[in-house]
Amino acid sequence: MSKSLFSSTLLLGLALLVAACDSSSNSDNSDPVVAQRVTELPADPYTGFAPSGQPITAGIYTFFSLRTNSIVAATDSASNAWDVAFKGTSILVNGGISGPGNGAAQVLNDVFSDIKIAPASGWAQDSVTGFAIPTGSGNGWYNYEPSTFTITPIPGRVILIRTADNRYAKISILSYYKGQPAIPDRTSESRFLTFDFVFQPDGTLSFE
Amino acid sequence: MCPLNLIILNNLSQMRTFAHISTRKVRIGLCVLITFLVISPSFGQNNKSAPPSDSLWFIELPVMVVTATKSAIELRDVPIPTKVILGEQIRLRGGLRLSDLLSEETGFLQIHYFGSGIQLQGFDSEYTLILIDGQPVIGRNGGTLDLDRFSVSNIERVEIVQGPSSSLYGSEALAGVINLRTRSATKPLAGFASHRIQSNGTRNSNVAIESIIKGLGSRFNYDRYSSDGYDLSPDVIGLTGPSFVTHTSTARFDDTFGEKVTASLGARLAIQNQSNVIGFDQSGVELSFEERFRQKDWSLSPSFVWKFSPKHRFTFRGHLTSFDSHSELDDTTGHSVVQFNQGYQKAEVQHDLILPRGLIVNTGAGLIGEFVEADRISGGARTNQTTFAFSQQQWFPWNWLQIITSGRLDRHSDFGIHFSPKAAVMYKSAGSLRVRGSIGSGFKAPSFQQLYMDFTNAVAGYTVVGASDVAGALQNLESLGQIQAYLTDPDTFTDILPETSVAYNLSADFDLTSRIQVHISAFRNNVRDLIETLPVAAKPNGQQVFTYVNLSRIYTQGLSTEITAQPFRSIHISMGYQFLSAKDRRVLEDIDQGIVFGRQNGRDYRLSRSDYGGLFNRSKHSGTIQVAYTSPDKHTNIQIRGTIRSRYGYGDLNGNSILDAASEYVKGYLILNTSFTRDVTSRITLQAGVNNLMGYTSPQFVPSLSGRQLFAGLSISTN
Repeated sequence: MSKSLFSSTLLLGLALLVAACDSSSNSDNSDPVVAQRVTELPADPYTGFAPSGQPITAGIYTFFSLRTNSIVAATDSASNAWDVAFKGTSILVNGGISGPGNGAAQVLNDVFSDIKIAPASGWAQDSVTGFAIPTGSGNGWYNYEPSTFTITPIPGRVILIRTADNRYAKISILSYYKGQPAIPDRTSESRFLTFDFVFQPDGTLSFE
Repeated sequence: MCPLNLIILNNLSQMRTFAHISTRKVRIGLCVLITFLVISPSFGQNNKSAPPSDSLWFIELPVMVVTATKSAIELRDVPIPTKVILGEQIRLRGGLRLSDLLSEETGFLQIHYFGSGIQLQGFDSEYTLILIDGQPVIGRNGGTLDLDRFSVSNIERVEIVQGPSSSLYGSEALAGVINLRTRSATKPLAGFASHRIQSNGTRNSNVAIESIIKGLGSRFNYDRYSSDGYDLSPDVIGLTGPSFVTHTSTARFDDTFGEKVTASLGARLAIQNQSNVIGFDQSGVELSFEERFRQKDWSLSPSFVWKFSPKHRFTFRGHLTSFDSHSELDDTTGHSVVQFNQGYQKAEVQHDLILPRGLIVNTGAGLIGEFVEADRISGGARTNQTTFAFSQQQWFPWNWLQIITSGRLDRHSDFGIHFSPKAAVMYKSAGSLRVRGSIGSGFKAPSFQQLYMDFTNAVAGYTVVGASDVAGALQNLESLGQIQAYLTDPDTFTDILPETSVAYNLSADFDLTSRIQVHISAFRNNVRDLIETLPVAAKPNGQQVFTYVNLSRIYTQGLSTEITAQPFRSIHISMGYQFLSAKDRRVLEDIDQGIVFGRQNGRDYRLSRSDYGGLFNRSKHSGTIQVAYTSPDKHTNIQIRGTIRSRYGYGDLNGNSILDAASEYVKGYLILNTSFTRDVTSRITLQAGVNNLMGYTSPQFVPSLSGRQLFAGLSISTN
């Protein structure tokens, strides 16, 4: 009992800390739904260079739980423990061909904070014809600029997530680079995602 | 006289200090214009007794131009607005390459993208057709036909038609046509030699010989242009501007056979060699590559004119040309070569029917064969054919009115038939006023790349296939198990079409006084079916297959004005201003739908139309000014010329792909060039000057601009 009290206190403390640190979060502490920021989450970063000079990666997705705001071990990829997974610019949801859960997603064009309620329809799961969060420049959450070799998140693209266990979340990706440079160049270290998200644990579509 | 003089000087000195204040300098430019408009009438009266101008600066009438109508018409009487830069102006300005010359004209903005191109009426340089003696020049790289390839030493004059001329010239003539007319022999025997030295180890040598023997005129010209290059960013490996050597040899023969037949043959061979070291830092390891680049073009253009009778004239023209580029890259891991060859052959016949009662009918037809060979072309090499026919009616119903109607049919082996019509009218007052208006259609055929590309990026894994081969290529990829899913139903693919425009041009020319001439024009281009890449299928590796489709619609519109004045016999001033607005219609629709956003400090906001800055690389305001002094004995000419442009979009930084944030703009700038020309004797001329007098550079955004350039040259002619 004392152990669970300890962890509850820790969680509350963490939540308060996150809430205190994040300027975009609701100041009302009684509100259970707060915007949280994940900073520079490695999404299968480069590990070195091939003899040809081409950069190489491990090729492994980073599995992530929105409920706990933490990385889930890749060994748990066949469970409902994770909600989204990141590898470079690709994002998986825990559903369809990607996982055992009921996860789905859709991408909306709107201001992140203006989305007060998740849509009831329009959800897609990862399938052989494509991911629920489309890949490719301009299709999903990012644009690729060939002249500078840079990936830039598209303003106003909000990723709506249905988790493995039918909870709803919204994500706004802010940066693809380590150090979150305002203007990345070809020397910026890529495949590190910074994003804001709101997770609604009660199973409703509301983000308030 | 004095007040005006002072005002000019004041404004000039003001303009110097406004180099870095983009919004204000335009107002200053306008002030200069307005000042002139306001004070010039009274000023003109002061000079009423002055004799008509005979300065070299004024176009000596009658100048006959051919580009606008494919037939010789006096410049002031051609219903389609035509600008002429005469050889004497070219000589006195002291520019070396065509890019130097054109970038000093109002409404011509130099854009550096795989070479020096010219933006005209807000169109990228790939939409302007470049001709040498009426025949097309080939060899575009990234759409740009590099104007640095052309020496001005052999150009007798440049004729420029703004607005579409596809109804006579076919593909590429959307924004305009620039026709370089080369020199022909005018003397029994003459020679010319010049040499010039310039900053950055830049050298230019030119030798020309001409003769007329028994009616056969021959002219040979050789031009060597070289530079050691320049480095604006010494901390970066390699030069900003690479070193190069360019050789250009041309020959032209003109002959007459009896009274009725004239023949001419033009030939050109140009070779450019360029080398540079390029390098970058990869995770603390400096990688450097040695790059060698060689490009070559040649052409052979015979033509015959047969004056069958006063009413009938036939012209036969042939054009055989080839362009190839070869680049080699050496690094620690090996040696790679990229090769591109292109060929173009054309034969055409034109009949001119000159009827009394003011009607001229020009009718023509011809064949074009094109050839391309490159690594990224499907099958390695491809050919295509175009047959075309055009007709033009020039009506002169009354002295005060001229009407031109024209149309051209192009039948292309890949995209079928395309029709380009145009109509133009000109009203001539009894005085100096000319009002010209036209409605016309222009088109640009899909490029080789858009038609025939077959390229898979070995690193990223995506594939691009040309529109001509997309159905077959997708089938092939599917049979290899390389198609995960179709993003577009392959059965719904329609054939790729040319990019087309409908253009409206209106202009007025008049003499405000005997010494002040005014040109005002307005243009609007509605462009549709612009070709873009579209993902059509997903590959198992998560990447996509792209092809080229007709997607975008844009418009460009603007106003421009040019004023030339000769306040004193020895002073010639010309000023120009252009206002330009060029926007993507799809972006405007998306903004209206509220689905385009900006981002500031991690916060997103909906964009409104006023946030949208239009297409990249377009300056809303641009202008030119030229002031020249010619000594009374005509032996000395001093000039100062400026070009100014307001800020323009460089690239998207905030992810929405469009120009909206202030950080996405490049600051406007002013470039001043000066030249001093002195004819020491009738045979010897000295020239010196400074280009980019204020030394403006911007290594990041305008690397093509090399800073202050001093030059001095000597030329000798046999006379």
